[in-house]
Amino acid sequence: MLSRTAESFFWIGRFIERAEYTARFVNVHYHLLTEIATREDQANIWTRYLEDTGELEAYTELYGEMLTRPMMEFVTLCRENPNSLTNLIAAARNNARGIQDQLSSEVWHFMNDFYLNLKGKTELELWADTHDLLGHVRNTCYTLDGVMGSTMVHDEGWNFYRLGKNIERGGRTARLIDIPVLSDPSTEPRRISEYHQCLAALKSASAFEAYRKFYSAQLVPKKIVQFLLFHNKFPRSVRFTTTQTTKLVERVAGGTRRPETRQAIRLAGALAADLEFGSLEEVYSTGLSQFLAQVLEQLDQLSNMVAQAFFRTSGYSTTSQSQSQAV
Amino acid sequence: MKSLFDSYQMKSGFDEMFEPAGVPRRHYRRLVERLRNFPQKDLELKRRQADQAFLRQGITFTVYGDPQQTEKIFPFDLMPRIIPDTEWRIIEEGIRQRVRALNMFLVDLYGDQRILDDKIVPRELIESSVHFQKDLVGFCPPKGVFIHVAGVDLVRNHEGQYFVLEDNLRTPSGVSYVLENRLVMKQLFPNLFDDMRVRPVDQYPTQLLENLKGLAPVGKENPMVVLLTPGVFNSAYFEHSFLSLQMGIQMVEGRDLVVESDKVYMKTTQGLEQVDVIYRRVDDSFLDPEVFREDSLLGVPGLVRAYRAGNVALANGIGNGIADDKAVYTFVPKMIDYYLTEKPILQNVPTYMCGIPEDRTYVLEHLGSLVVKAVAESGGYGMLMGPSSTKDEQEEFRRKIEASPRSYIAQPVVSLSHHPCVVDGGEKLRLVGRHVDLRPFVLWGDDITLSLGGLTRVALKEGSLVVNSSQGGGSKDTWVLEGDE
Repeated sequence: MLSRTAESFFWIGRFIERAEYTARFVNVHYHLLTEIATREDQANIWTRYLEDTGELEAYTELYGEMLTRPMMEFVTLCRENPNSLTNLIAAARNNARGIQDQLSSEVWHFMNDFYLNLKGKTELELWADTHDLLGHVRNTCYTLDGVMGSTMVHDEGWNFYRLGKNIERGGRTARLIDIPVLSDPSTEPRRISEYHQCLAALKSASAFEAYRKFYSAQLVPKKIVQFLLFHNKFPRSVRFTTTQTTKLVERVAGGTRRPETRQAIRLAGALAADLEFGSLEEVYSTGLSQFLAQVLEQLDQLSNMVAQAFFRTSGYSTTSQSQSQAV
Repeated sequence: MKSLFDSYQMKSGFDEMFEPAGVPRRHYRRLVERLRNFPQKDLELKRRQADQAFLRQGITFTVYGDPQQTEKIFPFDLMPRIIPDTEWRIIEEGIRQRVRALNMFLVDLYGDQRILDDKIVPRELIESSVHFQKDLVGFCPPKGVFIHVAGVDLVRNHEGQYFVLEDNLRTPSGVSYVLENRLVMKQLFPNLFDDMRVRPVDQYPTQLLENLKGLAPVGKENPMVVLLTPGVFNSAYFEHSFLSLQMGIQMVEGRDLVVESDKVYMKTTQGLEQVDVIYRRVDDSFLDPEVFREDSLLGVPGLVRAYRAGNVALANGIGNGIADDKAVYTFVPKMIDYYLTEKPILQNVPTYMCGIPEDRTYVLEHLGSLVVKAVAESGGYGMLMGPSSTKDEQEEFRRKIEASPRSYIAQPVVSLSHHPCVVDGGEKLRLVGRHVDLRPFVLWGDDITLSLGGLTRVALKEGSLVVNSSQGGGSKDTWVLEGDE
């Protein structure tokens, strides 16, 4: 497969997954916040989110004060924010357009529809039916995954798409756990706002229902971390994604064992092992935040190594522009 | 009930569908009969469905010079154009003859140059053209074929006689619309096709692929054939991806290819893979920065070396531009006589060459009634439509012609034939006459084959004679019948 094609598949996976998490996060938090949170609580939550995704500076420059409405416009429809929903879907669709000959026509039509539909949305429509719009984006991302899975050959392109998706997903879930209310294993949420934050973390990973099946409805920070970080069957736990990532890297490497390929396999394997054999004791003795920072750092290294191994085939320099990688 | 055709007004000039007396021509009779009682509101619905189908599939082109990079759909007109068998045979023969002569001309120009020595075509005309690739003189492409794909533009005058307007031997586009128009038309109006014996158009990609495979260097069992596109910002990008998909070949951009030891490779996730045949949709001047434009990012450094070494085949060949140059066009009838000793089956539109003093004087005196075209431009850019031009525009062209006479030609306005088209008419859809042309697509493999029909382009603006997509043109499905009615 052409390196450029592989790279596009990879980024379609990442962009769509990023859009899905963004839509879900904003939807969940907006609706929880409307009930009880003070303006200050709200500002804190949004600020932490934008810090995590590295977009706080861009927001402040554009809008100044942290308020719920401009913040939501910033992450959904804002043209100046490369990671707004509109721009993420446009970026995914542009990648798809460049490899149209490699996609099933169902996938291409679906993505094009998605893009055309979202492109025309205005702030007015966002506020008229916030839940509907964000829910639509999230559901369309789910559906797209299904259209790809059921109409495309499960060959290299599919594997690169899934690799991008899993790397993005692992990183996004890790960021969701990195909140103060979860960082002390001995606490139990007492204030209603703490309770809400626990709930929001789970719901943002669409994990609340799954969590309940294992631990009943009681929200215990330790158990939430255990679930989102280490669960071996829940598809959005960090561990689950790293296991997938390892398999996918080995699969796309095929028979070739160039140094860069070997390095990519090694990085993926090391990260997966850390999560497979890691324990809560270890996490809390390191500190939750530091532990997650390490995971994110490893994901970054892996992503770069995948790019070196497969997208910039060695032996010559490449002219291909790297995509917006701000995460 | 009022019929769609009741309000249709015949104009002066040749009407494709109706005879001057207002009765449908023989090959249109059944279509008119079937559409006569077609309900207005259904027609509106069909039109919305058609637009939706094109937009959704991304069958769009990019407008150059538009900072928004807007993607537009190429408007589709619901009323099909019909060509009876007898008429089609003449077109087919005429185009085959013409393309054969043009290819012989290219072989000759890049070989012995007999036609220049015999002074049939002036040497100065050729050597002063930017489209003539001097470096390639002495090089003959595989099997002596330069023209693998051509799109010949035909128009009809007030008597319905066909004329050739342009030959388009470089990277002609539009064939994807031929296939897509038919597909959409069959989805929208399945009943209309009943018993009409419309010849299918969909063998084109298969034929093209077979021809491309035939170009591979000898001994290649399973040649690697790719389509080279300038990328998503090219106005014909949809067509590039469409054809790649139809043929099941890899679409590549310049940056995906690399030349090592005069061989072309594509960069894959598993390393380098050799490429044998390139169906290139990138113009000569952007193809190889080592030879042509140094600033080209669309091309592949070293590609021409690999081509000359015989390690990769290109379709079309390099240097075709000299044969579809608007000034060289004038000599095609002479080429047909010179190489084939035949009489041209299809005529040229009379052309004045501003490089020739007598012609120039005539052109400058008649700017208001001629069409002036820049030799180097295509796609409807750089044109003066005399009858609809302002005095200022005429003055501007006068200055341009005087400054660089060789760069301009002029032709009398051919009062193109018109065809009924469905357009918005205030509250509801109306049927009105609009000018049309016809671009059949030609493929050269073991034999010369034509797409059955081709692309009918429509000048959707009232009175306009310009059918290019970039200038507000649209297209319609084109039917070649098995018989004559």
